[in-house]
Amino acid sequence: MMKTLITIMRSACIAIVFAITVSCAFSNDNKIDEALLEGEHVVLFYQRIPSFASIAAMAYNPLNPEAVATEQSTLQKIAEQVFNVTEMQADMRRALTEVPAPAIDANDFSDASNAFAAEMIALNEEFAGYTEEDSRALDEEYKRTIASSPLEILAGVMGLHELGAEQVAVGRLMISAIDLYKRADSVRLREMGDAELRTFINQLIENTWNMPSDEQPLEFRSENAAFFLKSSSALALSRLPPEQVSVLQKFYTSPGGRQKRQALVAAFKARVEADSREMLSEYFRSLRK
Amino acid sequence: MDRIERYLEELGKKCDIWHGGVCVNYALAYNKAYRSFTAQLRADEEYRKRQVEIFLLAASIATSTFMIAAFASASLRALAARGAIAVICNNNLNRTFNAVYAVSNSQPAMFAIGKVLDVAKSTTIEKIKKTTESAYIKLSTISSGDPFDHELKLRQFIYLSSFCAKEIVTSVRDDNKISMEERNAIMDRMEKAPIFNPPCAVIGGEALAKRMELTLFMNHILESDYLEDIPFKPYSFGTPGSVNVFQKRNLTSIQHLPSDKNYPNPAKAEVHSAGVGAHQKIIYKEYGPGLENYIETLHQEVVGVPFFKDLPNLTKMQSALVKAESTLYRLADDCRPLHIDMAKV
Repeated sequence: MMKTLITIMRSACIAIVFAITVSCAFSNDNKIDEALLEGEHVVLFYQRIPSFASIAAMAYNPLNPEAVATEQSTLQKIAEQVFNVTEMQADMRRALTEVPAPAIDANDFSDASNAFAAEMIALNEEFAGYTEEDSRALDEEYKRTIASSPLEILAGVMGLHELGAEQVAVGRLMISAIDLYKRADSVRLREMGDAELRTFINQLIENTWNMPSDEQPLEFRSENAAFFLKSSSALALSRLPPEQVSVLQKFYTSPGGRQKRQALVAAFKARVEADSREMLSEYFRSLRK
Repeated sequence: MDRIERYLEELGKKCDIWHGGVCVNYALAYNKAYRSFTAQLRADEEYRKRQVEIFLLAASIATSTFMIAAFASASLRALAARGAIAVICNNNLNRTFNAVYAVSNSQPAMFAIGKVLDVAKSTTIEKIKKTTESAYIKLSTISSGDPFDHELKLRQFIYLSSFCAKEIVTSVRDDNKISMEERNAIMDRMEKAPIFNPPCAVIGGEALAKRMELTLFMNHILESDYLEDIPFKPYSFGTPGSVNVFQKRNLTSIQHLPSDKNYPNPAKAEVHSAGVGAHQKIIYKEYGPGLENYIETLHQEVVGVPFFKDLPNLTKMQSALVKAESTLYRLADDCRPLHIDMAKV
């Protein structure tokens, strides 16, 4: 009887320990995912997208952006509804949960990632007050101290530059959307059935995403966005204490970390493309009336 | 009857032909082109205000008459920096002027007196110059695109030219110091001057109006390019701030033709770690689909090919400017004063 009781208690203890281990592992993973989302500025990138409509209107008709005021405000309103931050975050979390986290201390990673995120925001704010001379001086400093350093390599392994390149592609798509309604053959669009419109939109997205770099408007050139983000990331990393940099290095260069980062970028791209598709389809429908 | 008396009698009839033929036909066509063009561009008030010289130009090439070229020239050539004016002056007016004017600086006067100054003796030259100056000083300087004002101005030009010619021949007649030989040489030239040789061909009003209007549109397209100075812009990846689409832009209208070697060719923007460097960019005024369609039909009708249809989408306006310039050359070439012979002195 006693023996049975001991066996039961032992089993219970094992179960509890196991449960604690599992839950710790889960919360460890969870913390890493959240820190990754924070460090990669996923929400900021995504939130910015609807405001591209006004830049797109200006890029489309620099002399008279008012001429496309209807198209611009329609796009912006639709984008604000379609690009839903909560849903996007749920998507990202789902995608990250599917990938096991690397063996790394979640607290350390979280601290390092948050510190990096804060430095990126600080840099973004600093840049806002920059003159071209300041920017040139920064280029020089960058060349002298960061170029080709492990910091630059780490910045390239991080996902920000890919997210930024994806973000601005939506701006290009907005220009095309405005253009399509201003063109003489917009009648054709108005007459398209749903299936035909779907195919048309898919094609448009594909073309916009694959547009050669030198044809992309400067305002929404993916190559430039990627360049800024890579160099800003390296600069932000240079302002972190070395121990935090090595935590980030450890994460991003580990196979698990690489997988997480890839999953994040892929999920972000899929989400942005899906939202863009919906935005276009709503936009074409609303202007068809 | 004396040669001078005969000239004076004939001059009245010639002026009637100028008034009744060219002037009226031109005024009608001009009126039609003007109304159509301004109706298409009704929103663009500012542009319409600047159109006066361009109308003169359109008239000059479309009517193929030297008179209007001469009439328009004084102010046109001052403006001949770019656009249709430069195209036409290089291809049309200049050749005409070179062929016709060799002596006088007073181009309008050549309409009345031709190359008289070539053959007149110095004392007579002074007299003739004084007469022309006092005649043409009365020429209205009012600038308006309005067809009615314009027609009146044109009529005034014919009246003053006729007055000037009459003054000169009567002063030649009444001057005993002028030899018979010089008198005959002067009369030879006077009889060859444009005012004494109105064109016999009938100007087709409808076709004329369309050519004028197309010239106006081609010029409008040539004026749709601007150079924008874009200041350094820091990069920002996450602030969802809106952009003020109504902010003041730093734009300059481009004064060169697309074919000009001095046409701006802005360098690519420098990309820094913190943003895009200050740079210049050529931007174009966009045409709405309605206006595009209108120009398309007009171009097809007058030149025989569409205008916008085959332009590459990516560089549409850039190519449109090049094409507008070549259409103007074509119009100028087709319309180079056919009656240049009549204008020869």
